[in-house]
Amino acid sequence: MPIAIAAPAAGQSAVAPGATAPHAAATRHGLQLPDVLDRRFVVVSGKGGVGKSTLAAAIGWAAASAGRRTCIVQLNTRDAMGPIFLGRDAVGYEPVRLDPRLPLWSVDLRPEPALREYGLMKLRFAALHKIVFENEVMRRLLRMVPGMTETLLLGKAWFMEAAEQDASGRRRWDVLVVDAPSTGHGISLLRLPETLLKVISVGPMADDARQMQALLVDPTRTALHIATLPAELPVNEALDLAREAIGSIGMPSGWMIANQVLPELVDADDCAALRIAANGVDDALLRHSLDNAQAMLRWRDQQQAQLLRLRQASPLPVVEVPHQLGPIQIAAVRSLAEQLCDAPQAQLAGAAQAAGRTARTAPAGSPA
Amino acid sequence: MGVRLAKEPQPAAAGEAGTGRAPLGAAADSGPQAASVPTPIAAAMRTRRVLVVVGAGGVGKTTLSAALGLAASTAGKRALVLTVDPARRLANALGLQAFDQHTQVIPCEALRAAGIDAQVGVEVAMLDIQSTFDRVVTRHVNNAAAARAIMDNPFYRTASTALAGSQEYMAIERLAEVVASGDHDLIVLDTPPSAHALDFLEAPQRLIDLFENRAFRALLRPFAGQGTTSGMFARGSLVMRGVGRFTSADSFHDLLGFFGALSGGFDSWVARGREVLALLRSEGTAFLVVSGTDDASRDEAQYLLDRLRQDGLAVEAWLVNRVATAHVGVLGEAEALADHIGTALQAQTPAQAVEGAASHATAGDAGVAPAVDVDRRAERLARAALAMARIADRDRTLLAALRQRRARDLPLIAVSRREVEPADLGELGQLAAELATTAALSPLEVHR
Repeated sequence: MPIAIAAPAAGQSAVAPGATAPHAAATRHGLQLPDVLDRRFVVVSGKGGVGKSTLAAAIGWAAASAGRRTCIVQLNTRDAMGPIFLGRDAVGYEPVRLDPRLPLWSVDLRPEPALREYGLMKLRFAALHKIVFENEVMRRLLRMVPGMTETLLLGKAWFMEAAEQDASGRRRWDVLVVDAPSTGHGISLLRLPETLLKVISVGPMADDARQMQALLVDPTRTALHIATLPAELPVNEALDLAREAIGSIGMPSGWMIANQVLPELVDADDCAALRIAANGVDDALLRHSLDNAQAMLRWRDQQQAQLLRLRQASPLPVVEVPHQLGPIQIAAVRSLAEQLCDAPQAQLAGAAQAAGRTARTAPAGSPA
Repeated sequence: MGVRLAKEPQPAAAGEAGTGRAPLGAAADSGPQAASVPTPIAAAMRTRRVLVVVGAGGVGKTTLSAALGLAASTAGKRALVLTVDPARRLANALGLQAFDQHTQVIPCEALRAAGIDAQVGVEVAMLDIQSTFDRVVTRHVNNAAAARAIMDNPFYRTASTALAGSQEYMAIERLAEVVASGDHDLIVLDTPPSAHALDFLEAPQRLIDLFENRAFRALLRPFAGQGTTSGMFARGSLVMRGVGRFTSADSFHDLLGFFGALSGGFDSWVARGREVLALLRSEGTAFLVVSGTDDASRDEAQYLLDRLRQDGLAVEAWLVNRVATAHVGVLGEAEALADHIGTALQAQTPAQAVEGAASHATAGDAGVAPAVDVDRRAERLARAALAMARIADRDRTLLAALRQRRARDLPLIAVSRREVEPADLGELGQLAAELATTAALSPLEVHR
């Protein structure tokens, strides 16, 4: 099923003002990596259970296929990337390579090692670190400091973007795909630099917070993608998140990705015909087929109603991703990645034209 | 290893035709004695005072919590559902404008009017972190000046709701409040989604660890207005010079000032923390672990279950939510099914076909050549029927694996997928009835 895509709601542009000129990188599969997937800091957020990690995996795989040195950044969670790519929990604080043929890694950031890394970096001497951080009082105190965990996680992710280098002194990462926490916690994480600056306005940490904030709202480096499902509650939450993150915080918009969209397999006439044919016939297979087909039809109709609502209210262009109808393994991630790279541009341009808007409404990366 | 999937009763076989809402648990466990053994949820209603609902985000915890409240009312128990989710939709489904931190009552008459066999009303309240925190501060700090100092502290003003684990801590603090009030027979606590879903268990321990630390309390005295700063927190100390590499001494002293102002209440904080931990460990409290049928939420539930048991906490049951209930018996070759459906469609008399077209089809279809139309139609119907069956089959496979691994030592409850989330009291009541009447899935035999 091709990915369907719709232009954003009226009055909103998919491209933040000041965005770089559209460009698209070819993957080694001949796919064009759309600009909104080709930022240095790609954030994927959304309600729990909507397939956020799978989409982060697909975006990471697409970027790595285009030759970008890519790291999928998980934030203090149960490792989702190891099971998808390697079939086992494998990812920790240090980058683990997910595919031997691609420049694709993942990390799962934890507050404790991030604190130690940050502490050693600022203090420069292990002995001083020991005195300041490794005493009982400070250890217990820091665990209770407001926003400490979030600061360390976002701070480390920012540091990976801003400063991490490899042995030869070049930037270690081209693209970071951040698998952000689900909606509520996601928002407090994205608001963190702002909150931090209200409490501390001077000193090195305040400077760092300002740089983090600058990264979050920089349309040349960052894009926020929101994952959702075509169902009522996930759509509500996705719209809330979009309002907060795009509208209020000012993050550059990526896509609203509607996951698990059912294909149109049957219509009402098909079901009506089978209902008549099965009527009065003692045939369980027919009756059960009818039940299933009708359930599928109702499910899809409900999804379409929610998608319509999403398209009408979303400030981000809506990208539809088909239901996988099977377990999420590496093959599904690859096909997702290909579909994310492939269909959206042409269809986005089409959708924008159909909606009577200029090509500017289409995300950067669409053929001009 | 062969799992006896083929011999399992078909989940939807006993359900209402077309609704796909089969009573999964009952269908899978319909032994003669099934009726006399109370279902896990019915048993929990009888024996527990607190049910804590845990699981990954998006698995339906809040809706299930509301349904558990309704189930309690049909069992004659006065229940309070304490939710963390401000979703207006669920509030509306319960007949409320919105959730509120104050307890709101859904009267017994309203429940009965919606077809629920309620004996008493149900109460709901939403957790409001800031107001709970304010109440806690005023209770533990019984001196106006200290309370003022806390409220004025920059950390408290901007970040008390972001205090590490504060949401989790306030959830159980509020739980302790309502348990202490003694107004309810059952409290259902819907827990906040969090990266580590057991943060709310660890939050009180972290607080106790800090507030009980003697060295910390001594060092904090100057920040509570007793004596001058000395030791590691004094300006110019090695620690403070190190801290200066991160932030100004003033900011750090603001933070210490925050804890200093709280310190008068440390003993009562610690006592309350212990009370809460004891409450969670008491016999009256049990946890319900919730997952969906996807791998991620199942793994999360597995992890939660192991952690809860490690901590010696009682787990009442594992609810597998939104299990698809389509007919899996249609699974097989798509072509064969399409042929079968095509033959049936062909067998229709022309009169039936015309009648069908007139009553259901859109204008213009009537003239289409039936042979071409019927083959394509049969293919479409077969593909749709199979796709639905595959989704149900995947869920069944997951349940089967769980039944092998878990059903022997933990009640597993399969809750069927609703076509739409419950949108009113009547639909929530149906979910409540399903929860209360669904038996645990029996352990699955494995052939070696």
